[in-house]
Amino acid sequence: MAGEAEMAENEIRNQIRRLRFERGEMTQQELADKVKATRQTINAIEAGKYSPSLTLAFRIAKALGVRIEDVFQFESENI
Amino acid sequence: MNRLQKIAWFNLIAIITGFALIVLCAVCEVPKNIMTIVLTLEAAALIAGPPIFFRKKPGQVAFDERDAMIREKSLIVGFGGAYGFLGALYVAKLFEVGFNGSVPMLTVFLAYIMSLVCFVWVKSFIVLSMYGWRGRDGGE
Repeated sequence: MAGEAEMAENEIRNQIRRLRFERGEMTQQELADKVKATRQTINAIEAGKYSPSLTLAFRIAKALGVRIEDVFQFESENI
Repeated sequence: MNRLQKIAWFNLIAIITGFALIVLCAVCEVPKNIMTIVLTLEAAALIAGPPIFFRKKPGQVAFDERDAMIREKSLIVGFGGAYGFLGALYVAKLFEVGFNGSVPMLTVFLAYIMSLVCFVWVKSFIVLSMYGWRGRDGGE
């Protein structure tokens, strides 16, 4: 389970920080409140330390007003 | 630092303080009834402390999927640690008294209590390892 998390951590890139600032410098707390998560979780996702569930990923994309692939990118050389 | 981290720190400190007091009582040859009171206070602090000192704030999202994942992993590792600890303790006792020996029921009870303390300690350790040991952002 830890191995999977580590793998996901390294392969998934995200644009949350950039998108937040493009939307009127939205704070992590504001985004967290919109997607019903904690600020710590948003911080961990931004830092690439945690890969969110599909549900949370869709919520984040919706809250930022973009498609999910504009927020998260899967980068792997193995596939 | 979030609520789970604060509870984990509280548990670690309560357990370490409890052990230090027990060692102190043993060194100073404190009467057994006072030691029992210390142990009871320790158990009461571990059980009743977190809900009293770390109440949930209304209206704020304080627990999400990442917290659930960390709690689940810490529970699994905690149970594993406690199970291993209890097993090791009984095997050590088996070597001490032999297959035909006997142990007082108090020993069995204390081994169970110690494994519970081990569970809380390992669980708290894992929680803090996964979040990070300090910081307002849960280690980030």
